[in-house]
Amino acid sequence: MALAVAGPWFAPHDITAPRTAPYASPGPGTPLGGDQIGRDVLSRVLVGGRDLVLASLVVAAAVTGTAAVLGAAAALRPRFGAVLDRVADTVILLPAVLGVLVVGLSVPGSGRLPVVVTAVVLGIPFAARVTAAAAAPIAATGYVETAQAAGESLFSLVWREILPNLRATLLTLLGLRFAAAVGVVATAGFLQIGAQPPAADWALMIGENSDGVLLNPLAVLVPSAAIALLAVGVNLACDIAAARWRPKAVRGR
Amino acid sequence: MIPHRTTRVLGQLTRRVVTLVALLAITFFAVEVLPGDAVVSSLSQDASDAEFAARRAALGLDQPVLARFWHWIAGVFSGDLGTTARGQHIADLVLGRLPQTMLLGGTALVVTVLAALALGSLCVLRPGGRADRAIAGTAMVALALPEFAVATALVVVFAIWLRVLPAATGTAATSPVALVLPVIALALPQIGWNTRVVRAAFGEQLGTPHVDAAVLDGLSRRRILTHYLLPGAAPTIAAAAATSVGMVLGGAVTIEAIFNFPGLGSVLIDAVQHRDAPLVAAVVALTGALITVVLIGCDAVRAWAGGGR
Amino acid sequence: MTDAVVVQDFTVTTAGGQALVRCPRLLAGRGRVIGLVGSSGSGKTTLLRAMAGALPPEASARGTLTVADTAPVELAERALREFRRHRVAYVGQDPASRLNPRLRVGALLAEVGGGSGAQALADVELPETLLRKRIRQLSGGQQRRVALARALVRDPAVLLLDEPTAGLDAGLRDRLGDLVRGKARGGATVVIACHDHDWIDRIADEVVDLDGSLDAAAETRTPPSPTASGAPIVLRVDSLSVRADTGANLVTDIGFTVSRGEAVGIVGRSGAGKTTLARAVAGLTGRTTGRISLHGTELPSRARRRDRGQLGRIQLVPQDPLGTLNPSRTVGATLRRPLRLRDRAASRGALDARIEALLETVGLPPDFAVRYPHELSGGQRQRVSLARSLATEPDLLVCDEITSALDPVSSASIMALVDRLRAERGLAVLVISHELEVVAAHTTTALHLDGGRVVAHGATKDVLAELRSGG
Repeated sequence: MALAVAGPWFAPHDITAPRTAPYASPGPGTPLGGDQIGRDVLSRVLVGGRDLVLASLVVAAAVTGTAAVLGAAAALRPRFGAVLDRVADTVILLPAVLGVLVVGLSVPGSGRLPVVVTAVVLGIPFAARVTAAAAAPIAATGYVETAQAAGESLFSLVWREILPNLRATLLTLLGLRFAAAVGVVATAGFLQIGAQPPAADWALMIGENSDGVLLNPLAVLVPSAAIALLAVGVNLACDIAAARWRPKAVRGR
Repeated sequence: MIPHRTTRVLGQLTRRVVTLVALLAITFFAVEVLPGDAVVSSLSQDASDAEFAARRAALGLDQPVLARFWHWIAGVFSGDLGTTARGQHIADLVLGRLPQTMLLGGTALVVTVLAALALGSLCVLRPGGRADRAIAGTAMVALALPEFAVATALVVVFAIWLRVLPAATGTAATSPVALVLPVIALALPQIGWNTRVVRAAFGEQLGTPHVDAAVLDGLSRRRILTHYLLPGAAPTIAAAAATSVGMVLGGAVTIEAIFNFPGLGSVLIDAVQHRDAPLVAAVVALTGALITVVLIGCDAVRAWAGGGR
Repeated sequence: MTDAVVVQDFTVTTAGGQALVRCPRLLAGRGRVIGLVGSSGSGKTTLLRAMAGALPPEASARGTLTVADTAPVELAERALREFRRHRVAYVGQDPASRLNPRLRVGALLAEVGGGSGAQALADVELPETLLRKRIRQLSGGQQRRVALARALVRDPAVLLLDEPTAGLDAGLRDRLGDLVRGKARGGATVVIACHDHDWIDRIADEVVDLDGSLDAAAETRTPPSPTASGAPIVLRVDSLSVRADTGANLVTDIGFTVSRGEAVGIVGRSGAGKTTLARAVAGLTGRTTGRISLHGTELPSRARRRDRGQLGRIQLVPQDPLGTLNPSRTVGATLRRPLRLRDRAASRGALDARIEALLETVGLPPDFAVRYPHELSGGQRQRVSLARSLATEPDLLVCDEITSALDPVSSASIMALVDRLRAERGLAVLVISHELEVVAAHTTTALHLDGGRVVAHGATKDVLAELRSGG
């Protein structure tokens, strides 16, 4: 992830100017070869990750944050929970990738913003269902009941009593949402929604260079691996961190 | 007892259909309200005003929004999906491709569910054991993999370097071998996700009193798995599989592009590239309907596993 | 041949080093019936389950435990399965929940193997026609007997029964006793965990008391002071009913009063509506009808509609296993919140002093303020919970099973603390407990709930006597 963000400063060559023959094999100065019009693949890989990472991060954080608050509220107010359930039932019918396509199509040429917004909107209901399920046992605990009986406001119950004890769940969720966001944002890029040529973008590179996969497989393989590594790495990191953050078990009877 | 159960099942069915209609409405109005009129995008920049008007009338765009929505939604349910912005019959275009996508997605889904059940069962044999931890860890990696990244890696390794499996299907899928790589690419992330769900659902069932009793009564592992864990965990597993349907259909868009597979996904990409709103809406509607069918199946599993309670 | 069950210096310890059960000696030959008594928390269930080869997660066992010439906790998986299937049968508490709801009675009896299902049903006085029914089609009493039949059909060498008489009336208890004695005459060894001393004394050859073995200090109980007649009524509940979302009544037409300085007990088996009643008084239930009045003023049924003063006057002290304290906040932060709500203008130092005073009241040192709940014992957590409820200077404490998760020593000292607060501050206390000993020792008036209705109301002594006689 650090490489993806810092990559642009290390790119050895201009990402738009051809350096080699189209689909050239790796050679001196271009360790990963050239792409469909002979641009340096290494440079494009180094540059092409930053936007993807940032967009995915924004999506994952926005989805998780909103879902956390909505889910906790749903656990405390069953009626709101039922509404949330209905919305999630509807949204499940629209795969995020299709939703992004529809919106990207309706708002042509506006870059990544519509992709990010759609991914957030479509991600929240399902994620909120997950947090609501995790918050339900907490909402039934003695300390939440006591706080309710003390007349604490909904905001205070969510913020003070429930969310601090959902940290591990939320961190795991963040990792999963990040992986999902990478999938959606990258798929959109692959279909040339959001990122537009000649920008360097890992997903776009896979789409552009797949015709020449026989000549220089690296031009497709390296960006694929980079995307996979990104999604898997962040997801695992969140999962491991979550395991550490799990609230310490209260000592038995 | 029985009438009560029937009412509930009918209620669920109605709810599913209502949510589908809600989705259709959202899709229709999203395409309608957002900028980018189908006519503007389908005609060249220098077309005259008269040409625009004629095209609008031909597409029925001069009628009120609600009337068009009613017309469209009635069409969706009767199989008449209207015409594309470019004047083709959507039904012809889409229904010819649908079986291909259903074959690809259906196979991927079946593979997913079977693999997840098998791996989840392996995990529950010895919770916390070596196999359990290895499977849980691998599943966590697999579920984060984007389908098309898996696909390109598979193509490079198996089709180009090892030359054991075909990479592109070209026309309609003729041989089962051509399906192997696309199905793996589609299923792998879903196997990861579903294995996690199966494992967790089994784990939860292990904590229930009647499973505890079965263990303390010395029942065989197979009996506990088939008669105790599986029925109890079925609703959760079915729900996860239903979620996977949407993911598989979404993933199919890119997978079909990479493998040059003539399914619904390629129609969609074509529609997006030509900014063909009616066609996109039709594909979304169809996908929604497909998922609804699976969700209704999932409700049925839940009703069965609940034992009527 | 050795005894069928041999237990010597046997302990089960959690990973944290806490003893769950300690049993110095229990010997049972073939055909003997052994009773296992002790207060809740003394480890009766843990010991019975260990005899079937099951230990709690991450717990370890030390000492000798052999059942039918086998040491079950040391068996490998396959051998353990054989042992459980053929040598021993464990019937747990709440047997109905321990039967697979998706199977028919016939399948439930056939899957454990052994003898004829019809014969096993006959043993427990059930007709053969039940074989074709599913569990949910049976009554509660029939379900219990099916669970027992499932154990008997295997003809085990050792039969382990965990609280088999709970919820049975006197006649059924006697029939169960006859059945157990009959099995023992047939050569089976029976170990029964039971809190019903009279019954177990009658049918057991020998009774082992697990409490004596826990290093329990002598319990110090302050007998409840009789309420001064004419003390003002703090809480009055009139014809209170609470409906569940499904429309069924959870409690129906409940009425009682609690006066200043008085302790009222609520008893009844689980599911009788005790906790619903506590939640209704605290304003946590939805569909509530009837009146709840505090000092003669009717309260809104929802806590959200009550004003700050009313909220502070009634304090709910919840059950421990459900998490009395927020695990992510220190004791100090937990106590600071209600103090802050009462007095927005108070300085930090003033609040710290109040927190210290609250901790002192419940017998905890001031440096506990920086601790997190997982650094406290169960009894200490319950003390903090009491301190939190005292922060608003309440008139009524609603104690919902506050001792159910505690060992006998901590339980006694928590109840002594409640007694002291009642005496010193004139608190009205509602004690909800399934432990009759607790209600007997610490309340003057009691209500017996069953099926959500009051079936007995009066002096604690009389209510409990009636309850024990199986009424």
